[in-house]
Amino acid sequence: MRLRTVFVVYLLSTAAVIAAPFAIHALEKARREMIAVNSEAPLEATPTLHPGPTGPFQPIPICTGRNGTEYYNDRDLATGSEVSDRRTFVPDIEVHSCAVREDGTLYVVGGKDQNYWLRAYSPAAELKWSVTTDEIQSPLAVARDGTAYLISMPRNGNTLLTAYMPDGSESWRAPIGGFEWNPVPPAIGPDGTIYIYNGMQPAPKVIAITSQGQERWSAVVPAMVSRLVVGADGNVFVDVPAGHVIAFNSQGHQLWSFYSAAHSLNGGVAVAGDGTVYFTSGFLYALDSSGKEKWTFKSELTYTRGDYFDGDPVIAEDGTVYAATYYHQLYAITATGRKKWVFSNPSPGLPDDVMLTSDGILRSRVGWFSVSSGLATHGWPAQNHDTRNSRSQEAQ
Amino acid sequence: MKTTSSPLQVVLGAALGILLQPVSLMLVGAYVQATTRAGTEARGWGMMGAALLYMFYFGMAQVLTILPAALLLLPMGRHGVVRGLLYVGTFLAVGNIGVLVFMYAVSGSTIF
Repeated sequence: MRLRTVFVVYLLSTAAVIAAPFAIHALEKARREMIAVNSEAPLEATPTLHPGPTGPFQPIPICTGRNGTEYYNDRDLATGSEVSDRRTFVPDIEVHSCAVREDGTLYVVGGKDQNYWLRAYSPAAELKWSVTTDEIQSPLAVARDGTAYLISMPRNGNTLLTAYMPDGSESWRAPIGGFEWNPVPPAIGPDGTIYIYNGMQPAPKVIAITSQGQERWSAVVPAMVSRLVVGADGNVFVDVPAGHVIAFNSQGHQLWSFYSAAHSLNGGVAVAGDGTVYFTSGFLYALDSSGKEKWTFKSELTYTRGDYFDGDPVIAEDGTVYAATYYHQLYAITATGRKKWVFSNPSPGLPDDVMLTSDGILRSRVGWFSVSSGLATHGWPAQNHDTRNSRSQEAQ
Repeated sequence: MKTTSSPLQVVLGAALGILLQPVSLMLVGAYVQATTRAGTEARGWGMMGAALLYMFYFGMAQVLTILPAALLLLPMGRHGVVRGLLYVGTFLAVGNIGVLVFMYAVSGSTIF
């Protein structure tokens, strides 16, 4: 072969290899655009967004009283949804999480500089009691009788579950074991059983503890649990990466396991009153009470931008499911998996958390919407069960 | 242009083409070394990225090495060596296309 020809072949092959990634990228983009997503027209118009507060004022309350009083973690712990209504409830306080007892008593977990505490306030902001706690606490779970369950970690690293009586005295403590920087908060079942997660390797497990502090059962799970919720029938659901939901009955026997195959970090789990499990892992999955897939909902940007559902789905009383995606899409989805409406947040930022009040105000980081119904009153409809953050199935 | 080359010259060119292949990686590595501090995360990511990207795009890397070498040797009349270099370059370019197609179609790589 003539050298000139060899040169031309060489240059052509070099040009081809440089062009190959671009060609493959274009091919992949075209292929992804052809994959079906939920791009159908929404059933309803998107409700009006009412812009939320900015600056030091938080747009989403950290917990809500039974009478609708919303508590915000601003510079101070404050009440009042609109900025003009904000009133300091407790000044100069470092709050990590809070929960409200049925009688309106506010339990607050917080602290800084190695001084951590659990406090109880009356609805009139009077300090009822305060106890010091160990570091690294989870959000609380509050039983119907006012007992508060808190996971904390002493300096020895052996994580503890502590039960505090309604007067602040310590009832019992159970060593959970493990070294969890972000412990999964406890969850309370309909019969008062407390469910916790122990991340001790090589056998991380879910543990059921009686309200007297005795272990009832434990079940090994394959990986780190990120969510632990309880259905109305007492079944326990845990969210395990990547893309797993495992269901146990109240006796600790595994009922089913669902694997989304989405190869994606898990968002969260919510359970409707009829037993439908909503689970975000890339897509939003609806599973029936036997773990079979009812439907799957995909963000319109799933394949074009790699969008995925992020955070916990929220279930309304009318069955509408609200879920946000990484690329700032907020979807309202009917119980049958149809797109009710979608809101695209044009401003960049972290994915939106979503919180639904009992009277139908859907709060997100960009503002709030007035929607068709409030938070569901059955099942486990939101991350912390209800707006009071009780994390207790007893409350129903 | 001279159209004949001795087999020895072609083999020498092919050997030179293969030997030159790491030069582009060494250039990128030297750049990372020069622009980052020892023991830093930036250097770790830079060196790892250079090595990984070289595996994916070694066919392109030859532009940095074989083509200049061929263009330098051509006026010197070392046509056999140039021929060997170009054979190696063509082989690597076609091989790289195969790697990219394999990554996309078979392994399902998401780098695209």
